[in-house]
Amino acid sequence: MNFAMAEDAGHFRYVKGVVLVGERVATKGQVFSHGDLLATKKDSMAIVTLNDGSTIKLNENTTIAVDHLSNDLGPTKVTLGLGSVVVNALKSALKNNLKEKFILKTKSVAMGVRGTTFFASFGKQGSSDIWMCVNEGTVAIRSSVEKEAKLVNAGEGVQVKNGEKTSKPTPLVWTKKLNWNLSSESDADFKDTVNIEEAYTNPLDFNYE
Amino acid sequence: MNKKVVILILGIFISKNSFSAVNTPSNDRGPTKEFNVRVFYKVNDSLTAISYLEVKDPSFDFQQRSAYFGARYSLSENIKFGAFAGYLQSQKHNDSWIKDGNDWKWDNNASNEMVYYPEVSYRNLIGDFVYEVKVKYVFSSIFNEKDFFTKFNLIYDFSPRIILIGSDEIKFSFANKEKTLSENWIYLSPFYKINPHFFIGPTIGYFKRFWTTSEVHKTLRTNSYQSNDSSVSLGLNLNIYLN
Repeated sequence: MNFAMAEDAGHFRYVKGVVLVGERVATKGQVFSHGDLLATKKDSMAIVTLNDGSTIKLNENTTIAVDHLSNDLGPTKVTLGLGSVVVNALKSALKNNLKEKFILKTKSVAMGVRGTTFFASFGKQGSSDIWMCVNEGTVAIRSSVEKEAKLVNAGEGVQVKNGEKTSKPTPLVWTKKLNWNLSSESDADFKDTVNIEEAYTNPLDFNYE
Repeated sequence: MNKKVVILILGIFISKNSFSAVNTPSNDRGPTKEFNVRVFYKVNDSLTAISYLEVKDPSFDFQQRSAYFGARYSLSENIKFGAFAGYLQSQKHNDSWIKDGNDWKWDNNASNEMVYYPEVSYRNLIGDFVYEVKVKYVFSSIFNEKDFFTKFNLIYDFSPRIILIGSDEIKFSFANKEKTLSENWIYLSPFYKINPHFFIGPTIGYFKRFWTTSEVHKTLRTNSYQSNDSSVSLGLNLNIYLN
C-alpha cells in the first residue's frame, strides 16, 4: 500500500497569481495532501481537483483545507477559512449512498452538497457573514445554532449573518451572472466580477419604494 | 367666403382655448421635476419601517412636498401589508381649483393635508423579471377624498449594480361621479447600487390627470367641465437602507 498516494487529496488544475500550499508556492499540476492549507493572495486564483472528482475554484484572498475525502466513513469535507469558492461536486464519487457527498464548512456553518455547483463566501470585508448560492442541484445548509438544515435549490441563495440564523432560501436571478466556469482546458477568465456581498438582494423581499 | 370660414373657425378655436386656459385646469409649463428620498429600516426579517420624502413641481420651487411614515410587514415572501401616514403640501385636487379675483388657480393654502392609507402587495417572479401588484386606499383630511390606487411594477435586476423598475400607477376616485379615473403615472426608474446602503438613480415618467368641475365652479354656477393635463416628469430617486 502506498501511504504517500493515500494522503494525496488532489492537485492544482489552474493557477494564476500567487497561490500557496502551506508556505510553498503552488504550480499547475502540483499535488497537495489532506490538511494542507491552500491559499490565494490578492488578484490570484486557483482551481483544484480533488481525488473524489469534485472541483473547487478559489477566488482571490481565499483559504481552504481538505479535511477528508469521500469514502465509506463519510463525505468529502473541506473547510473554508476565508474568502469565496465555487464548488462543483457533480463528479464526486457517491459512497454508500451518502445523502451528502461533499460538505463545505466554515467555523459556524456546514453546507452539505447533494450533487451540485454552488458558490460560498465567508469572512470577506472582515465580517463573519456567509453568502451562498446554488447553480445546480441542492445544498443543505445549517448553522451551528440551527437544529435542521435548510435546502437551497438551483437559482436560490441564502445569507447567514454572524454565523447565526440562515435566511430563507430565495430565488436570486443574478446568480446566473456569477462565473461558474470551472473548466481549465483553456485560458478562460475564471474571475468573478460579481461581488456577492454587494449584489445580494432578494428581489421578492426587497423594498424599492 | 373661404377666408371668412377660416377666420370664424380660428376665432372659435382661440376663444375656446382662452376660455379653458382661464377657467379649467390645463397643462403646467414644462416637465415636472421631482426628487424622492426613501429610507428603509429593517426592524426584523418581517417588518420594515419606511419613510418617504418627496418634492415635486413644474418649477424648481418644489412647492408640492410630501412626507410619509409607515411600515411594511411581510406576511410571506410574496405578500406584504403596509400602513402609512403622510403630510402633504400643495397637492392638486379637483376642489382646490378656485377663483381668485378674475383668475382661476390652484389653492395651495387649502392643500395642506394629512393622508392615511393601508396597502397590500403581491410580488412574484416571471422568468427573470419580478412583477408586483400593489393596491392602496388613501384617506385624505381635506375634501373628504378617498382614492384607490393600483400600481403594477416590473423589476429587472442587472446585478451587481443596476436595477430597472417600470411602473404604472392608476388613481381612481370612486366618489367622483363625473369621472372615476383620476390619474395615471408611468415611470421608468433605474437604480444604481452605490453599496448595499445607497441606491440612486434618475426617474423619467409621463402622467395624465383628469379634472372635473370643482366645487367652486359648481357654487358659482359657471361652466361644468372635464379636462386633463399631462406632462413628462424628470427626477432623481435616492434609496437609503439603514441596515
